[in-house]
Formats: sequence, structure tokens, C-alpha cells
Amino acid sequence: MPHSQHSPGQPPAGMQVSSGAQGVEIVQPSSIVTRKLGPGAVLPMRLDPRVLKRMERAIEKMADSYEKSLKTEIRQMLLSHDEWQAGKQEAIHAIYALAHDIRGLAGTFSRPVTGRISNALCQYLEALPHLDAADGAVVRLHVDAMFAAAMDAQEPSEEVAKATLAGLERLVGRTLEHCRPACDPARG
Amino acid sequence: MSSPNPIDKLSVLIADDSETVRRLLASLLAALGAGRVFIANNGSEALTTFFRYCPDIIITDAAMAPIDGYELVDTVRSHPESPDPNVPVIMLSALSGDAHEARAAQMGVSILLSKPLVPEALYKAISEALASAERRAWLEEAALKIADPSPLPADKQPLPAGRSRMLH
Repeated sequence: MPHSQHSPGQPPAGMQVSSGAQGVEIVQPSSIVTRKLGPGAVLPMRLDPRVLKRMERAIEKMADSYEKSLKTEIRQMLLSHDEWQAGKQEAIHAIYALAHDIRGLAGTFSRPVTGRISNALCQYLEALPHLDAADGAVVRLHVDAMFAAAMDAQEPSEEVAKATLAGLERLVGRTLEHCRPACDPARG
Repeated sequence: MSSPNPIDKLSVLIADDSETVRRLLASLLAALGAGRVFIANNGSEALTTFFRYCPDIIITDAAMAPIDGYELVDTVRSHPESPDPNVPVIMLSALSGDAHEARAAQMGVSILLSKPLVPEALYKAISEALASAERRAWLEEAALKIADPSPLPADKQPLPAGRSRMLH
């Protein structure tokens, strides 16, 4: 459905223009909703519960494969951390890329705690002037916490998750204090 | 009458550099009954697909290379040959913060959708993105009318007898 290019003052295709009483012009712009969804379509659309069920089943179908991939990614983060500590600088970029992937997906597949810890790690790394400035122990603690949360069949309780995240947040806050003004904790 | 599943008429372009996200979105859109789904691995592929197929809606990641989601939206909105500058765009991202939101708004993103992805949120975002695109198009048309308030454009004037109008 290509958009019609039109000159100023000329209505685009589908726009109705008519002259009303007393010289008043009535303009009925073309409706994107009608064009894309068909006549009679109204917004907001209502989600049919049967469709929602189908969507939930689609996620369930992918869950096993995601679970395996999540564990592989966290193991890879641990390996990359070792490599980084051994002097391979680019390994911290791999850690960030994996953490970024996990923070975006883990929550969809019933791993919200792993996703939140991963998000905390990303926010710490994003607050640094550059990834090479990251503290090895801080990164390791985050990855270990992700490992602990993701390796069991069930994630830890909300209480444990909150305590873990609060502890990591305090640690990050203290670490960033030491590298001010280059690091800005509010940036992430 | 509206269709019981209005999404079945939509063609959707997905742009994300994560294979898992692409598969997830494609599965969710299939479950929704989307009419047609195009998949792009990055912003560059997405632009090629957009210019070729002109999908009804775009769902894009923010951080991608070589062309990221912001640049993708900017090009879609402002390229002189864009086939649909008002196409609804949903930007899906794990990023947060004012800078991200301001940049997305500046580029013309219709709806920002935070990861992790939840089915209801995706559906709502599609509905809101369509509404947002509608408002955007109406405002644009209104601005054009204010800029040139001629009562009837030349091609809407009655033709003198015996004259024909070229259709193109």
C-alpha cells in the first residue's frame, strides 16, 4: 500500500474534499487504520483471549530451546570473563553483548530474575566511560548471580532477587564513586 | 463490519539483529494471524525490504549495525522516495532512559516497547502505533491545508465539457 506523494494543497489519494454550507470546506483525511485494517476497523483493537492463548503457546514452544541457549550464554560469559581477566580486552565487549541479549529476552521466557540481574550488569557497564574501565570483581559477581538464578529449574524468590539486586546495586554505586567524574551513575 | 482479527490484514516488517528475537516476534505475529511477515537482520536489510514491499507496520530493535533502529526510522520518515513516511513504527528495546526516549521521539518512533516482550504489550503496541500513525498523518494533512487553504484543488474542479483528465 504505497503512500501517494502529493503537492501541497492537493489532497492525497483517498482524502475526500467537499464544499459545505457557507463556503466551509469539509476535509475528511484518508484513514490509515481503514487502509491497513479494512473498513469498519476501530482502535484500540481488542485482544481476543483465544489469540492471547495462541501467543502464550508460541512462547512456550520456544521456551526449552531458549532455556538451553540462556545457559550456554551464561557459561560463555564466565569463559569470556576469564579471558578478559587474562588480558583479552575484547572479551568484555562479548560479555556486554551477551548481557544485553539476556536482559531483553529472559523475562519473556519465565526468567525475570536472570533478566533483571543482567540489566543491572548492562546499566553498570553503560555508566562507565568505556567498557575497559569495568571492574573485574563487579562483573564477575553479576555473572555469578545470573548463573545461580538461571541454572536451577526455578528462579529464586522475589525476596532473594530483591536482596541480591540491592547488594549488587550498592556494590556498583561504591565502584562508580571511585571512578568519578569519568563515570556517571545516572547515565545508564 | 470490522474483521474479528484485524491483524490478519497487516503486513509487518521485523528488524532485529538477534535471531531469538526475530523468531520470537515471527512466532507471536503468526499466532496473532498477521497477514504477512518480513524479516530483516539489521536496519540496512530492513530499509531494502521497506522500499520494496512497503509493509503496513515496522517493529524494530534500537541497537543494530550497520544501520540502527533510529536511523532506520529517520530514513523511513524523511527520505524523499519513502513509500510510506507515516508508517507506524514500534521500537523494541531493552534500553531505557530519557536520552533513548528523546531520540526515539525525535526520529518519529510511534511507540516504544520495552523488552522483555509480553504478548499483551505487543498487541497493544500495534494498536497504539496505528493510532499514532493516524494522528501523525492527520496533523500533516491539516498542516498542508493551513499552508495552502485553496478551497478545491485543480484536479477536483469540474472539467469543461469535452475535456478528459489523465489518470496516473
